[in-house]
Order: sequence, then C-alpha cells, then structure tokens
Amino acid sequence: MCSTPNPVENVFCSNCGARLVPLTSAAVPEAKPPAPPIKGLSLPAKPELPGETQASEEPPSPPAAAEPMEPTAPAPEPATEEEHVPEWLARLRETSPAQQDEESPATEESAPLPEWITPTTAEPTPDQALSKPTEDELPEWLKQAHIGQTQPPELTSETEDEIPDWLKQAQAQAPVAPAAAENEQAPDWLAQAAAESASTEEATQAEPTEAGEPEPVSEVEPVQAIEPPKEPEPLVPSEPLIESLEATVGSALAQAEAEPVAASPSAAVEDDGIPDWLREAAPPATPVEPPKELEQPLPSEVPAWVAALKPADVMAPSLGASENEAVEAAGPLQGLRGVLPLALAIAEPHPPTETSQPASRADGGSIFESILAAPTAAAPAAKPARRALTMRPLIYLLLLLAVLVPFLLPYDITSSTFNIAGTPAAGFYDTLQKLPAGSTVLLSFDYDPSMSGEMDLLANAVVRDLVQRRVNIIAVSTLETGPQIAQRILDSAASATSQYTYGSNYLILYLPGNEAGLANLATAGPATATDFVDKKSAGQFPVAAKIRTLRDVAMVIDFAGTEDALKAWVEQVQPRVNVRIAAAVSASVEPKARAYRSANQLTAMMSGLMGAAQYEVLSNQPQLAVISINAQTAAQLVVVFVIILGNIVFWISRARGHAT
Amino acid sequence: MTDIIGVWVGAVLTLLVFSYLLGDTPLFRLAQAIFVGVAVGYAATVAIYLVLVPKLFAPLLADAATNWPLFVPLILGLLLFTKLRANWAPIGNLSIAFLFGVGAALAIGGALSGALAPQLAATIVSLSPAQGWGTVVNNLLLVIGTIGAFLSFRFITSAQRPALRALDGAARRWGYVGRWFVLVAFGAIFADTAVSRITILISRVYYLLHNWLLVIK
Repeated sequence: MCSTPNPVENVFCSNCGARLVPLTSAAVPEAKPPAPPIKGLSLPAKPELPGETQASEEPPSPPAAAEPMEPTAPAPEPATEEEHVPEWLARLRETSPAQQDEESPATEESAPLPEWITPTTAEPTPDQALSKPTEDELPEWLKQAHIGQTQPPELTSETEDEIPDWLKQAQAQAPVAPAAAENEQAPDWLAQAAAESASTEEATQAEPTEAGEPEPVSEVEPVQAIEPPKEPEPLVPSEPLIESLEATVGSALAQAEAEPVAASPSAAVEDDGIPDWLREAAPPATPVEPPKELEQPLPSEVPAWVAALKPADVMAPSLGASENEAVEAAGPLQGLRGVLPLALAIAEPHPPTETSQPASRADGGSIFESILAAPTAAAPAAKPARRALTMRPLIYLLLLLAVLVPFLLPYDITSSTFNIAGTPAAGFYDTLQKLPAGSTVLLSFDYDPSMSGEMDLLANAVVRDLVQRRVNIIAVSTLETGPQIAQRILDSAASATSQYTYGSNYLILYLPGNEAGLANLATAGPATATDFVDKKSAGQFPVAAKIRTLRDVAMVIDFAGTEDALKAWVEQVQPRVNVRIAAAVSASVEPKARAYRSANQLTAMMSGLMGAAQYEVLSNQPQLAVISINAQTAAQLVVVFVIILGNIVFWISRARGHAT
Repeated sequence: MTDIIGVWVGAVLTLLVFSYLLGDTPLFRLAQAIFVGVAVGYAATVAIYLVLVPKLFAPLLADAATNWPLFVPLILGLLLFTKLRANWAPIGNLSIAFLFGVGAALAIGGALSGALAPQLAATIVSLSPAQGWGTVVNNLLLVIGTIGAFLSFRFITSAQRPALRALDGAARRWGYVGRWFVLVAFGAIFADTAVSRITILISRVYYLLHNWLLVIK
C-alpha cells in the first residue's frame, strides 16, 4: 500500500495498483493469508517477450478492470473497450504476432529473436493454444460472462429470469447514476454508500466542465473518505460481478499458464485477489529458487571508492579514443569502461610522445648518421697482420733448420760441453746404482703417446740400465695407453738382454681408477692387479708373488708426463707407505718435481731430453737422447734468437713511434 | 712388412698434423679425428678386457654367491647409462655422487698429507752461515720468494694506525717482490714447456728422417 488517497469506489489504488477492497466478502471468517510475495528477484521465471519486457520494466500499472469506471457511461464505448478487456485476453493479444510486429518492429529488425521466442511469434504452439481457451472449452457460466464482457450488456427477459435477485440488485446499483426511487428501496447502508459515490461523481464530473483550470486543493474530498471503516462492512462491488469474475478467472488462467510462476510484484498483487477455491484449484506454485550464481552489481551499485578509482577519464586523453577501451563484463567493475587500460596501452600502437631531447643527444645522433654516411676507409690494422703472416713462416723455417741440420752434421757439438756432475740426472743415476741386483722396482708409465717423444728417451735410458743390472721391474700405469708404452719399452730392453723374460723379471699391470687405483695399490699391493699381456692376476707371476705391499719394492720410479700424475703418486702413495719415489719427468713438469725434490718427497728426479742424455752418458749407452741433444740445443738457440730479435724490433718500432 | 706399414702410417699422420702450420686444414682435422677415435677405442678395449671382464663379469659368472659384493659396482655402473636420457639422468646422480665423493676425499686427504704439510715444512730452513753462504742465499731467496708470493695475493685495505700502516706498507712492498718471484716461476714453467715441445718436435723429425726416409742412421 502506498497510502495514496483514493476515492471510495476504487477497488484498486490509482497510484500503485494495489487492491483496496478484498475480493471476498468479509463474511468469510478465516481467509488464508496471501502468500508472501517473493522479493529481490530480478530474473523472471518465464522468459518474457519483448513486449512483456517493456511492461515489466515499467512501474506496475493497475489492471484494466481496476480502472475507475465512469459512472455516467453504462454502455462501454469503443475507446473504453481496451480497458474492459480481461487481463488474460490482453496478454494473449500482446503475444500475438501481429501486435508484436506493430509494437516492436525495430527490435526484431535489429536483433533476431532467439529460437525459444520464434515459434511463439510465428504460430501458436500447442501450449499457447491451451493457454487461450476457446469458447467450446469455456464453461457455460464463463461463456456468458465472456459474452457479457464483449458485447454490450443487454438484459433480455430470459436472462433477467436467470439472474438471481441479489445480482439484479447489484446490477441495478452498480451504475452510479442513482435514481431517487432506487435510493428509497435500497437499505440504509447502501443508500449511504450511494450518496457518497454520488458526491464523488459530482466532483469528477466537474472536471470536464472546468477544462484547463486546475482544481484547488481545498476542493478535494475530505480526508474522512479515505479513512478505513471502523467495522468491516459488507462492501458492494462497484463494478459488475461478471467483470470481476472474468478478471479473476483470467488472472488464474494466466497464472496457471505460467510455469514456473512468475514471482513479480504485479503477480503478488494479483494473487491477493484470487479466491480461495481458485487458488486451491490452481497447480501448486513451485518455489522459484534464485539463481545460484551471484548477481553482478549494476553500475549504479558500484561503491563510490571503486568508481573513484576508475582511470578511464585520466587515460582516455593519452590513449586516444575511449571507444576502444574494453568494458568490464563481469565482476564488481561490470559496466565500467577503461578500468584496466594498461594492457591496451601496451598492446595497441600509439603515437610516440614528443619529448624534448638534449642538444648533446641530438648532436650525437647527427654525428652517428654522418659516420654511417661516410665511405668506409681501409682498416689500418692490416699491416701487423701482414707482418705476422710473413714472420710466422720464417720462424717455422728457422726452427725446422735448427732441428734438421744437427742430425746431418757429422760431429758432435755439445758432448764436450756436458757438465754432468751435480746435476739432477747424476743424483738420479747414483740412486739407481744403489739398487741391488735382483731387487724389484716399480715403474709407473704415466704418459700417453702424445708425450712419448720426450718421455720415451727418459724411460728407455732408465729401463735399459735397470735391465742390464737385472733389476726386476713391475710396470704399472693409470692410463689406458700406458701399458702399451711400457710393453714396447720393456720388450725392447729385454730383447737386448739375455734371460730377462716377462713374468719372471718384469711384469706390466694396469691400474684403473687414477687416484683410487693408486691408493688401492699402496694398501693392497700389486698382486690384485690384472696383467696386461696375459690378462691374469699379478699374483700368479713370480716377479709379483713376493710383493705383498709397496714396502716390499726397492723404489718407485715415476715417468710422469704431467703434473697431475706426479702429484697423484706423491699425495696418494708416499704418505701411506713411505716408499722411496724417484721421478723422471717431462721438462714441463720439472718446476713441480723440483719442489717435491726440495722437500725430500722425491728421492731423485731428472727431467727432459737433457736429463735423458746425461743419464745415457753416465750409463755409457749413448742413444737417441745424446743424438737429439744437438738438435735440442740448436732449436733453443733459434728460439732465443727469435725472442731477442723480436724484442729489438719492438723497441725500435716503439722508438720510431715516439719520434713520429 | 708390418713395420713398414706402421712407419708409413705414422709418417703420413705426422705430416697431416704438421699441416696445421698452414692453417686449420681438413688434413689436420682428419689426423685429429683419427687420433681421438683410436684413443677412445683403445681405452674402451682396455677397460673391457682389463677391468670389466676379469674383475667383474668373470667372478660373477663363476660364483655369484661368493662374489655378491660385485653387484654393487655393477649396479652403480649400470646407473650411469641413465645419463643417456634426460628424464632418467637424475637416477645416475647416485653413481656420479659416489665417484665425486671418493675423488674429493682422496684429493683433499692427499693434498693435506702429501702436499701442504711437507711443502710448508720444506720452507722452514736454516739461515745459519755455518752451512755456507751459497746455502744461506738459497734459503734466504726461498723464504723471501715464498712469503712474497703469498703477500702478492694479499687484498687488504690500508690500516689507519701508524704502526699498522707501516706494517701494511712493508707487506705491500714484500708482496711486490713476491710477485716477481711468481712471474719468474711462470716464465720457467713456460720455458720448460717450450723445451718439452721442442723435444717432441725433434723426436718426430728424427722419426721421419730415421724410420721413414732413412736419411740418418
């Protein structure tokens, strides 16, 4: 109820359309309370047609039957037929294709209707046919009511006989034009009501006479007319009962047609007017559950602080047209445009902003452009490259001659210049000379074929001397190629000595595992290793049968081509068994070996071609090392000469550079 | 006949390697590929016939119950094959971890007992003139060079106190001297390396002249 003052004869509120007078009489003692209207639903339970959508968006208007009737017009005029059309018929008209075409042509043209709407607009479906009752299906009493609605009520004698007395009286009193005679026959309460209605009619009839002039407020009906009666009095309907029944039945049919029941405020208002018997006859309305998904807030419901964060107004000028900005389709920002414009700002190309560049930067750009435009000059660094290309073959040639010529000369250059006394090779030779015949030494061949050109000279010199002195040899190697090298050297030395055989006087073993293999050798001895030639255990050979640990060998001689090989022996074997180790190493390993020798970690050491040549001279077996020493000396002289010449050229060119 | 073929093969490969003096030629790359392939193949053959067969497979096939501990290195070795596939590679980390763990333990223990302690002890020398002036000078150079080499790797900001500042200046100067010792040591290592490579060159030239060309006897 909107508490708007309405005339007494109004059944529905002229403002909100709510029924002012209950349809059932007050004599019914216990009327069931109307079902509480379901509020807060914005989605209709039944899909609405476009015409209905417009109607639902508009404020609820009172039904046509609730319009205040003109008391002075008992016969319905053609213009007022629309007002007397029952609600169910009005709805059917709204859903008819012809009417839809008239009402919303633009809607159909702009957007095609969905499939669920199309059959209803094209031709009536069976459901629609059921919802529109034909005259045959209508009951007899409803036919009469319908006839009485569509046609002007002309009471014939036959119909007058069928109408009960109370209805006749009501029809006679329904027209507001009262007659004096009738007023006399009417009861007191009816006469009073008629008098009040007559006064109201006078007020309403005065309006056309005073066309264009607003009625003063003081002339409005007194407030007592809208005061509710203190006692419930039986109200006489101010319109014919047939119309009331039509309206009731029509609304009931429309309600039965709609499944599920549309819970709208208008429906709730109509529900109030349904009689109990019709409400019970109607199918039970299934409760409409609200959709589980959260309703998205409308833009008007967005909080102020969120709206304040909307950056569209700020970013729009910089980003250009705001029409390209995305509209948020979901979430609390639904409906807002340009809330998150960063992605667009990155993805879409936009004109570069004109920034003021410093003058130095602009000058740098112009200089860079001029450099690019200038013709390329020849690279000045070509001279050193040419010089290097010319000098390099010359150095190669000088070194080759220094190596070749000594081999071709008949006389020895350096033999007379040997100073063997006090050299490491002499100490090494003296150490080995202390080994008794028949003793066993362990030789480690820790170099690969790439170093054999140097290391073979040392190994050959030492092995020949040991074999000639009949010292037993157990050769080991931690490299895969070491046993092959050892076999070649030992077989060569053994072939030059009688009764020096493999297994009895010398043995070749392979020690896998590098440092781990050496550590295992130090603790377990060589008996667990595998023979290289016969692939047998070392313990099966006589030369290794009596060697249980490394302490049983007289000495370890390491032919080390690299620092790591020598370091492995010094670090892994000597601390464990404290065996004497002598090293015959490459010249590149000599600094390291000297440090070990100075710390007495090596018993003796010699290195390089010079050490091999010295050992050959000491052992009276001049071989390849002595022959090669001349070439070694000549090559070293060439290298020294090249170094000195290069430095002289460098200083001269530097002086010329300073002078120029 | 076999020796002749071997000499010819060795001589040709030597010349192919020497072709590097003209640049990175395909002949040098051919010799390089042959050397790497022969070395790897030979190493694999040695590992199979000297390690796997006599020390792993033969004992397991002969008496697996007695030699059951050999299954541990067998499994660890098989796990290394998982490194061939990226998805299974983490499984092989167990073997790699075992190898690295053993290697690191041996290296650290050997460095402490076999290199650091003996080398530190070797620097404790006598400077008594009774040993002769040559020995005294040698030992003095040893001490100065060793400590100077350590001080040359000293990266400490100068102190504020005068006494510490003087000490810092002395250490800086000593470190500067020690840097020259380091440079001399690097020069000696480089010279020895050059001598070693010249020796190898001489051996190859002698091989060509003596074994292949038979120019010299």
